[in-house]
Amino acid sequence: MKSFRMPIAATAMVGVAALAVAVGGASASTHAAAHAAASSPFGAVHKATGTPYTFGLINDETGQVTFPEARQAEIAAADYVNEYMDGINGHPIKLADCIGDGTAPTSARCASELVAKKPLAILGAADSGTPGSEPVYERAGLDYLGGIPFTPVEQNAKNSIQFWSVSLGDNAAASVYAAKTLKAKTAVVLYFSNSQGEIAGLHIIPPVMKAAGVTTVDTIGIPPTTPDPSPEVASAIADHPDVVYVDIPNNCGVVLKDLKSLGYSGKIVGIDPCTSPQAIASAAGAAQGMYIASPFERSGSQFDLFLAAMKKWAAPNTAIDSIAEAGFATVMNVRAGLDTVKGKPTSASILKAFTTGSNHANFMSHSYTCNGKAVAKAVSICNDYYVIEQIKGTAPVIANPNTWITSKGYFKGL
Amino acid sequence: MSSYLLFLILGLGSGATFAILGLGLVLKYRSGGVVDFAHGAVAMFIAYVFVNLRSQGVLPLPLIVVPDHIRISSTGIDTTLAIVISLVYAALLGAVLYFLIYRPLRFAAPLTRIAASVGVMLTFEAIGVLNFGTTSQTTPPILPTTPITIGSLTFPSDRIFFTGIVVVLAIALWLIYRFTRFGLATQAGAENDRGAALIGISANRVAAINYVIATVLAGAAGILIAPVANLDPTSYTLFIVPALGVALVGGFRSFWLVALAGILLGMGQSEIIKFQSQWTWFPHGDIPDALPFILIILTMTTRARSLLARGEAMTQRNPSVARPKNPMASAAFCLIAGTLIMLLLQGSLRNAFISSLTVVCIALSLVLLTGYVGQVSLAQMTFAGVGGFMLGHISHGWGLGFPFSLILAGLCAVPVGILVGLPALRLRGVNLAVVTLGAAFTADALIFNSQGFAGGLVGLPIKPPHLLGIDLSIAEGHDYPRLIFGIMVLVVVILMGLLVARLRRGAAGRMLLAVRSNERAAASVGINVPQAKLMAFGIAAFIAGIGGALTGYQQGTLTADGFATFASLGLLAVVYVAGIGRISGAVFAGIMMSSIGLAVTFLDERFGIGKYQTIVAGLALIVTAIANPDGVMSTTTGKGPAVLYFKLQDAVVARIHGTVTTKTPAAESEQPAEARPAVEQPHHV
Repeated sequence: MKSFRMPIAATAMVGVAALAVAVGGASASTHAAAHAAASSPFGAVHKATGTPYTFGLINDETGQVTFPEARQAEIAAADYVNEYMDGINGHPIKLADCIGDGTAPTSARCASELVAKKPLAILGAADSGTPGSEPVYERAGLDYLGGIPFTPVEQNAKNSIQFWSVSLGDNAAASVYAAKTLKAKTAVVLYFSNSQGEIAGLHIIPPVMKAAGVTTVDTIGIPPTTPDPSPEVASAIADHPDVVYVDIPNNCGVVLKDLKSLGYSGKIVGIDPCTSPQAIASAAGAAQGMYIASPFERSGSQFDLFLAAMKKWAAPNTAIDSIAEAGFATVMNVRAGLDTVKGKPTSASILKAFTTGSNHANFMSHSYTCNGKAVAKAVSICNDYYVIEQIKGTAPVIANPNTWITSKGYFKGL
Repeated sequence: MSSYLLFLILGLGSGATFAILGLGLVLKYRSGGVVDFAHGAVAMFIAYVFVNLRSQGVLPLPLIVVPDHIRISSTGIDTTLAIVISLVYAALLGAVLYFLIYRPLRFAAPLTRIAASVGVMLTFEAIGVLNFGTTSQTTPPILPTTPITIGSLTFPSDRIFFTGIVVVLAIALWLIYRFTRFGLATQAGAENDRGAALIGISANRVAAINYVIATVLAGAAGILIAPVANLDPTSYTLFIVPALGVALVGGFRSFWLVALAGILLGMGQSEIIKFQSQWTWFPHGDIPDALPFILIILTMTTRARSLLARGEAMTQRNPSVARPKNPMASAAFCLIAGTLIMLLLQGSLRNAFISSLTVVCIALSLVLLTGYVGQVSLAQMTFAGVGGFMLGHISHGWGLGFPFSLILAGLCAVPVGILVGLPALRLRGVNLAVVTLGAAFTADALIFNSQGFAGGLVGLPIKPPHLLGIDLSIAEGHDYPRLIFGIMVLVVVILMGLLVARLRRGAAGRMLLAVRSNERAAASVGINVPQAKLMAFGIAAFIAGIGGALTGYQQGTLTADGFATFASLGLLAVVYVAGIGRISGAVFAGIMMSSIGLAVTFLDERFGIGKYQTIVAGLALIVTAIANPDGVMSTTTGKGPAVLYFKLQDAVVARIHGTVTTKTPAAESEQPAEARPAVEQPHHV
């Protein structure tokens, strides 16, 4: 949020103060730049000076659920790549974006606008309307690379490359973890009762849990018009399950708080939105100990680079979460893949760069192999490994360092 | 047994939420005759004010781009002080909204005020998204949460306190509006402002005070809901649907009945959850979500006479209606002009023009149903969705080809239209709007949410149209969007326009207008009013279904998100402000005001309005509703684009013929006497 303090101030004083700040600020920033050069996590400057390669992207920033951090992270990564990594073979990355609202018709409109700008490819971001946009890309012969694969459309499209799975593989992996590591025998899944929520809440988590050894799995939907989910929570814990799986993206804190206030003391497995500072704070202590599967490792030099780049190039107050990590890592992976292409990339050579070979380095994530076999019936997903995090204090920490888990053998596809 | 009791108690949180929102809605309706769809959005904004003050000491402003908050403390401020500041803020906001928006519209048709309220709702939601994001927030409890134990039952006490506050509020409102001079003045001013003026009551001042009180009530609702529910920019608007249901139960009049209905609804929903977990034979799924609609239907069946049923004093203004002069010539002109536009446009703009045409088609259904027959439907996008998804099932599963598949898809929407129209036999106006909104919401939860019917997240594939061996599909190789597809859509939409024009010009049109003007008078001259209404619902559903099916052909894969409940509300608002009594209004709405249409796409491409699109749409809706209460394409107000167009036409004709003609009054005179608005006539409650 932009801010002003009390507006009743003498204009002259403001002018003088602004001038003083400007002068002081310039000096301070010069010092900061000199210091940054000495200890920069970005390395030496290596600017890309060729003709830009344009990439299109649609990001949901209006409508019911928005993810502005995905686009900000891609902007930050592109700026970093252009300034410090020579772009893609000397060509700077140029982003052409369109703001979606999470619906297919708007995404279709956006896709048409992007196609008109003749991009090299489309960078995935946070677009829930891909059933509308993806056919437009396919017709235009554009590849769809990375981002957050929310829907089965981009998880299976021929022109799509996905470096990780969000809301599919992570839920399946967390379900395996609940059964195998937490040794749960009874579980209840609380899910958000809309199309997206029902896929995970009814068609991913319960079958994987059962396949992995949980004997009883009950499911309870929480409708979008329910102000107070405590009846659903009370119903969930009535039979004292070993694990409650909270698959509620936008009401996680309240559900966790209700679990605690209604006396539940068993294990809780959650999803990534439950790790946001707001959700942890609003859970009033009830999030402590909750487990979450994440495709991203939040430690190490790549994570530090991500944080530094976000601080430098993303808009102030941009959320640092898995959506931002996916956006940033998408650009880094695309850059790494296309750097190997000789000459101007084409749709075929772009796909080939990612599908040829195995165990490609995956920024902040497990290596990927695009052979259509990583996740059952999601042929475009190239990596199905996750770290398990646990909420301790005000943030998640890795529960089992250096351990990646997968749902291979348990998840049979949608 | 005790566990059943526990669930009843746990349902109090949701019940009190519906009740307190319902009380605010009733207050606004009693004082100003407006069903304020922005009530939830305003409650949401005040809740953010409270949460930000309490946690960060920051006072948010309803602004974007420019500084949007004032820091009044480096840390959070005391809860009581935050509540007081938030409620004062709500009072000021209410006064500003009243004087800027609702006061200029006090003599406008109810639908104009609804359109303006939709504009306010969109604006506040957009401000919320831009300034606070969509990640939900909560705040520590305001009310005591110490668990209460009664026998084997233990439950948090804050729900009990919350319910107690709602009950006290309901009683206080009842006492004030039943026994105080101010309450009686409110009733007098609402029923007859001129009569009230004669005895020294300023209806305007009374309405302003009432609107401020109602906004403070919305703010109180937001503050009280925030600790038990998630706070995000859109959820509170969704809570309005059940709140409207309980307001309907109270006939938009009775405070205590609304409070009781709200509390019982929440408890009922909670108990259903218990039944679902307890009894395997009990239907699962989103039954609690459907409960508000069931409540509405039951109320309508048992209490229709005490609601604003047909035949009661309903002399509210209807929008003016135009009579198409020469439909065939207009159709030919549209075909030529539309084809030329498609030839001139390429790529995204051509695609946007085709999208505009599909919206025009759905908007035509509203011109017929709301414009000509006066039936306020908030379920048109539901009919469109049924048509669209049925096209997918027909074209793939049944093997039927174009154009039969398209016609059958439209026909599939007809029984749904008639079913939703049944309540219209007993209700009209605002009550009918609420019922149809409830129906749309139930369809959303039970039908469009079904993977089998709507294809879930992936959507339902639609087979491209072919006619006599000619490929009419939108894409062939890299040729997208194809001209031939656009022309096919254009032809179908023109045919729908001709159907509406023919209905309006013929005996059926006169019958429908008679029903709109006065149902009892229409019945007295032998018109079968129920039949006329159901026919209108059926035909409108058919046209909307065709529009949905065309959308399916365009997208190739149809998803349910485009047909969500509030899409119908947005559509009604834009068609209304464009001119709901005119076919040209539907055309204007589709091309100029649709979020996927030509004008918005052009603006996004040229100026990147992107994330500001919703706020621009909301503000445009408010301004248009105030500036052209009868619709942009109306000529009755003597201003607006349509008048400018006719003046220009007059000038051109005069230049050609050397004479001066006055087209504008002629357009006015085309309107039958019964359809003319009763200018300056006060509304009745």
